[in-house]
Amino acid sequence: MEFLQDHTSYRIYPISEYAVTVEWPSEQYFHLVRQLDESLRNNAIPGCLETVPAYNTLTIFLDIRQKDVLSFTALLHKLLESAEASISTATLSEGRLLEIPVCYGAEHGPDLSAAARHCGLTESEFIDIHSGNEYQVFMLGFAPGFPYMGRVDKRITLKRHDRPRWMVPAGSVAIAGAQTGIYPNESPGGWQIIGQTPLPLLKDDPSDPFLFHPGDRVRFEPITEETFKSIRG
Amino acid sequence: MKVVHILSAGQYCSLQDLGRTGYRSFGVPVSGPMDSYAHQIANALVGNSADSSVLEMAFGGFEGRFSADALLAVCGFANVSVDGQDVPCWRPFIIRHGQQLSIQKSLEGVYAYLAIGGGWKGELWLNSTSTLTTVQKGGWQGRTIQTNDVLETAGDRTQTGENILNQIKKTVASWGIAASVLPYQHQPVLHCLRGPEWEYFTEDAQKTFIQEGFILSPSSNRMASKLLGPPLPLVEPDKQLFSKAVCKGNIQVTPDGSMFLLMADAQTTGGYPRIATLMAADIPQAAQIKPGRKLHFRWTSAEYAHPCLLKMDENISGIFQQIEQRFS
Repeated sequence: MEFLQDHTSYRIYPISEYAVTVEWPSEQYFHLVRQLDESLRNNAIPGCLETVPAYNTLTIFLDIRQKDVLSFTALLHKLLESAEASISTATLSEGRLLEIPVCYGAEHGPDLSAAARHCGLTESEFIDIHSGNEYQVFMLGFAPGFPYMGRVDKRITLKRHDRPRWMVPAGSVAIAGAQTGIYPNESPGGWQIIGQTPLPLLKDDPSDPFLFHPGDRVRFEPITEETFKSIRG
Repeated sequence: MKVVHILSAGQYCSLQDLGRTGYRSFGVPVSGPMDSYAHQIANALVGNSADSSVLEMAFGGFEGRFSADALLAVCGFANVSVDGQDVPCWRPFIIRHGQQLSIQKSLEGVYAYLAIGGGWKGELWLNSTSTLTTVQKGGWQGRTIQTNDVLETAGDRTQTGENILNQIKKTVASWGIAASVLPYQHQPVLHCLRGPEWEYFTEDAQKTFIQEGFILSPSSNRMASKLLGPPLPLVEPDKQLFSKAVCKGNIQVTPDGSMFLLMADAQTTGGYPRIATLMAADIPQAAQIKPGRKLHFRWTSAEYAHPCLLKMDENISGIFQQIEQRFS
């Protein structure tokens, strides 16, 4: 992890009259994305409506009646410079660690056997590699509650399907490139489906409606068909 | 209160308030109206707050029989009638128990907004009644309105709404929104800011974007308007971008050369290069452009776009204030 960086390593640009993106060179800087996000939240800056962290960017949405993009950009520069001066991520919380049960293969993961063959692995080797890693939730997008997690071990990276499936079941655990993700609801999708979690990604709790948050750390725990059924109920 | 039996709902009729903010970081689209100007003014005309639920419909096709008296307004573009009698848009009117309301497509625009005094009743999801059909949440059972649905009002009319209703002598109010304040032009030119990935496009592509016209595709929807035109090549076509937050107004170019103007139900993140961003004040206008029509872009600056957005905001709040003063 890098703690030192040049001032020139990030850039700030508007994406509309009411939104600004701060961009670092790669997802190696995700801790700085999170740090800026937390400091904006902690400072409760007036006119700052919401933020979207993603890999190497943080995008901030503004209430134009209170803040314009130009003055907010100046404020961001100041904030980032003072953050760099402290050269530390000590204040940054580590992110929650979630254990996600996954039933791999067969009807739950229709692409697993072909994917394992493609990678020159047995199915159980493939599962061991996928579930042996700790992932970071870099971003939620595509659909409400869909976590983009990385990085997937080089031995099991997979290309997207040329033709997306018309319907992917809710809870499907999938790989695309070096990313792994979970489909929160039934939808079309092009990622390679290797398993399925019985957990709902959209919860009934209005105060905390989504299973995953940006910045979470995730481990997958292989489960049997029986366990899958008993959790799903 | 149950108030209207839907005889025909048209192509895409959904409940929308001003949208769902605060959940973009969880991948939740903002939703809300395609034309936020017409949406809010419809509410103003019936004495509602700006964020009350309104029925949004594309290309008309709406017929409904009312089972109670109601104060209504239709804003945007449509041909409206009550029991066969024409009713103008942008003016409040009364419908009586047993009467039939018809909202049909107009040659001049796409979306119409039907507001009712007291607001339409909708299911709340993440603090908003806006319908998001992809996850079947919000609005009317998370879906578009269908034939035989029976819609309800959310509550009673406000005092302002009551006063507007009492002042209407026959069917239609003798006052309405002045045509001169509406933000729609006959030959729309859409003002754009340079997109975040503007430099990724070749010089030819940058010129083409401004010099050529683009046709609005019929496959446009609430997520995005698809624009058809000459190709806009990239300097490095194979360059992979990190996905990041996108927003309404961003104009993305996908690898097959298609161009998409992101609209109300757009995904919150994307990884395609954005050549431009339509300025926010021009989005209501862009939403009303009919498929098949050619549209032209013109560059503008943040110094122009920002005050335009504030001006539109003042236009809307000014209308609310005047109605409030006159009818409270």
